[in-house]
Amino acid sequence: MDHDKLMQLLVEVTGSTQVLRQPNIRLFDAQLLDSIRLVDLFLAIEESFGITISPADFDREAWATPEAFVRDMMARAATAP
Amino acid sequence: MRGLIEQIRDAAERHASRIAHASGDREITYGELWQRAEALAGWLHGHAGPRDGPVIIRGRKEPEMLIGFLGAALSGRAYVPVDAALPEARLASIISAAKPALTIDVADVAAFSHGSHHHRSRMEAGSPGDAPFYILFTSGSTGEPKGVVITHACLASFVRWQHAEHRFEHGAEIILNQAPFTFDLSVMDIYTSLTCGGTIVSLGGDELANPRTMFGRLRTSGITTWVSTPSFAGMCLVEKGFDETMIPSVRRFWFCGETLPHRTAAALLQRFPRAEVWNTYGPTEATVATTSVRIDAGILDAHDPLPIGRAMPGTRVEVRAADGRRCTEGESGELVIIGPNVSPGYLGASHLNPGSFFVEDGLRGYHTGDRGRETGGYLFFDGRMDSQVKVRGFRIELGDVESHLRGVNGVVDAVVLPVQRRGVNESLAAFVILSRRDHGDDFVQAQAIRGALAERLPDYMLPRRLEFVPSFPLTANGKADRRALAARLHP
Repeated sequence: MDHDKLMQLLVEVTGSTQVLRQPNIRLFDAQLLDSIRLVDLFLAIEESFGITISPADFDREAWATPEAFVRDMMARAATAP
Repeated sequence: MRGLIEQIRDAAERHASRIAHASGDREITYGELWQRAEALAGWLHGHAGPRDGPVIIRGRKEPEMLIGFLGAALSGRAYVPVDAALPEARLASIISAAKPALTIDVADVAAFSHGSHHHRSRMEAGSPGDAPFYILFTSGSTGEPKGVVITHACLASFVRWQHAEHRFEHGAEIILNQAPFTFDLSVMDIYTSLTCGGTIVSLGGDELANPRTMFGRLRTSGITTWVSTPSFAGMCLVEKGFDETMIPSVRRFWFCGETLPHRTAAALLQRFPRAEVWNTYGPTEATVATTSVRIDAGILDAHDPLPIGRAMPGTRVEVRAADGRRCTEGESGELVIIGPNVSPGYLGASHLNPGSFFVEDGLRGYHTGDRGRETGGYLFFDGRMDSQVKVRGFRIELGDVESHLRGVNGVVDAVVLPVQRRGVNESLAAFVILSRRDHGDDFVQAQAIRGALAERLPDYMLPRRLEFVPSFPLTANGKADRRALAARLHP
């Protein structure tokens, strides 16, 4: 899984390049992500990487920051069938 | 004809031990709800003074909100629901327009609804049909919120229609409440439920913010009637497990507040083959909804976009041209509503009423400002004639946000536009001209402006994206070219 591609999706969904400059910014606290954008991100990831994320099983702390988002996605890619 | 309050009292007597409202980890039975509403009415009678002003009730989705609504009604006063997080400056505008007898919050309701004092309801004195039942404040284009007055008779006509159309099962419905109580979509679930002994299941902020918690709640709540904005259902549909095995009890989906996308209705019918999907339409000024249609396979095949249906019995919805004549089949015009569900007008804002509200053949009428047409026996909604938008079901006047942005220190001018994703308004964006652009980070400056704006406007009206520009592109008339700016948002 491509780190740059992941970050590009995050920029598109949050509508801000701030996520590139501040890998530790709290995405939900800064209102860069909310539940509707989160769902958009799920859809974008499914489209780009073929990885389906179930909102019903998702804990948003897993993507609390851009760094955490990338780490979590790398782990998902590693265990994906 | 029995009034709404009498219907709720009957339901409360018949179903005293049934849960009327479940919200978070709290529940209230019909027996307790009614008893505490009466006690609060008694307290209000003694403390709200002789003035006939409404009662402002601040809160979120606590059971105390419902106690407050009913208590106010039983004391013969209208209520104004206000979100607990509404900025003080916005509340001050509402207070100045509403001239309330009293402003209370859920803690006040909790404290003053325990008395045994049996207040003899002013409602019993006679039919209060023309008395205001609630006043909902909505975004106003000049920056001042507008109070829409809904009378007992308006609300009773809406509720009567819904019961006739849906044949709700008395004492057995469990009705989803997604919308905030400050938004009239919630009136659909609250008063339909309370008049048939149903249970209202509210989704709170924590649940809406965290999908896992929310789906857990949906899975265990036994919902029979789903009331939400279409965008909320669209979000749920992203979860592949959102189908009849997750909520086997659901029998109908009932939408209002914004356009129902064809793909949302189609997906729901596929995943919940035993449930009905209903689309409705109507502005707050005409009590929640005025037209309806059941979306089935035939309608899905025949129409995209979907129709908004036909007018409720006793009310006319006409498509009118600018000169006032009725449009012909298929011709686009303004949707005009004439009937008993139309509000008597905006609160204390006589300058806003002419042009919007009128009386025709002894009935109240309202110019919606919505473009529409009638084709093949169905009405269709084609968008707004002005700069009012819906974002996730919230009604926002772009001029409201712009005027408050211009009031922020350092802002010279602003244009606010909806950002669309898959054809649906997803959020707001603002193009802002600053008197001085800091050399530092744009993001930091944008956050500071958003912070200042958050002290004046509710959350849902805050632009997500702020872009600083040296000037606006201009139209031939020398006005900011909104279309050119919109094109920058959707390259």
